[in-house]
Amino acid sequence: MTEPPDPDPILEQASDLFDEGRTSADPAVEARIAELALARALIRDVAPPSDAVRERLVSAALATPHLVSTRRPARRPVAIGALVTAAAAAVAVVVVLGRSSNPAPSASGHRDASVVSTAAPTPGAARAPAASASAGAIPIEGPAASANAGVTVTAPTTASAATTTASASSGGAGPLATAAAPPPAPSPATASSPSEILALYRALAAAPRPTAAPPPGTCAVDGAFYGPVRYGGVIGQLWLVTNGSGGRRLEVLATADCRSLGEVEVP
Amino acid sequence: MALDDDLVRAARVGDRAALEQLLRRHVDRVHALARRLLGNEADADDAAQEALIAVVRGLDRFDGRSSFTTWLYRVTTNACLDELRRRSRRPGPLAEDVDHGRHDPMLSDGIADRAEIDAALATLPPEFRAAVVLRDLCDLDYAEIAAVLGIPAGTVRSRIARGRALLARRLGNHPDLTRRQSDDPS
Repeated sequence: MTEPPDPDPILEQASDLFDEGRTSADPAVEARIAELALARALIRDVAPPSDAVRERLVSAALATPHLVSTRRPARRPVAIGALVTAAAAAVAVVVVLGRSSNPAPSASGHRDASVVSTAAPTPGAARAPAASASAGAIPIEGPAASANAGVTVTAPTTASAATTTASASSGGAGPLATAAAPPPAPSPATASSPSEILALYRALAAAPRPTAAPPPGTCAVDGAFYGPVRYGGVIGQLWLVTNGSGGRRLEVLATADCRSLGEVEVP
Repeated sequence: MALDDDLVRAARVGDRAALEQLLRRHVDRVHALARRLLGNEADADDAAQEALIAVVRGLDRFDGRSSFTTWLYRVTTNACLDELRRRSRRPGPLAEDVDHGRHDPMLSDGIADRAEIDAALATLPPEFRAAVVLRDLCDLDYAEIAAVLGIPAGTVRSRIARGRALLARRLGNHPDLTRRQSDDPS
């Protein structure tokens, strides 16, 4: 690759005139404009994709799960302590499966859980919806815990999570905020490669799944939230997304802006 | 015919038909941009697919401050520049290895011309190539190109002029250009 030269004054003038759709009385400039016109014609002479390629491109894009941002345009200031406690409560895993354009709840009830999962703004609220979220949670046929291949996982198996699950399983009508103190905030699991994302998912899928919501005010995905994860040094969220043909993919989305940090197909 | 903005709005709330219409409307231009920036069909296919997937995923983040097409070009250009960066990290033929000047008489003019322009564009650094292609293929103005590439408009103008200078030099022995220059009385 060559660093382009500074254009000579004639070419520079021709380039400007060409872009403005003008001509020049100077034959030298006009000759340059003609060159530029030919170059443009060559650049535009690009063959369209074949029908097969076009179909493949469109199909692949249509099969992509559609992420929905739930970031609020303006957030009310919240005390730092409340945020920390809410985050601690939110690290537990809620299982919400099934990306679908169909707004109706799926047979498995996953969409119910997904709705609940987007609202947990306070420590109390983070615990309160546990019963309904748990009721909507559907186990994923996850590989065994032994699949955790060398990944440091801080699985969300906290005492408070166990408490909320027990409460939910007893009918969900009892007092939910019986835990005297908020649980300690666990560190996010760490992964640095797609294979480690997969191993992390397998470990989390094999662990008991308490009920909680994704961190409030960030991303919501038509999929299963699997808790916070630090990927490539960036704090993110681990999601399991199922496409229309049943394929499953893990995605790590940056908590700050929902951009994709990494993804891997689930075999 | 529905406007892009209408289709975007419908697609955002789950209208799959609108999303499909949007994708079909723009797939050729996404592919064409990728083809010109990457120089070969295989990489263009891959980058176009990445770009379209990124469009679907990012539809909710499209803020409407630019036209949908400009945003689409930004997503596509980024996908192509990513591909070029990946390519630079793996061994392969260098642009300088390409025979820029030979015009194979066995090839039809159209195919030969396409090879010529691919070879010539391949000699431009990606940022210059992107500026020239966004101008000459996509018809974006300097301000739009500046928004796509995230650089000042003045830099766009400079990159286009310098990119064209190198392109003209590389294409100088293209038969059409050579004929024009020899016919030029000046």
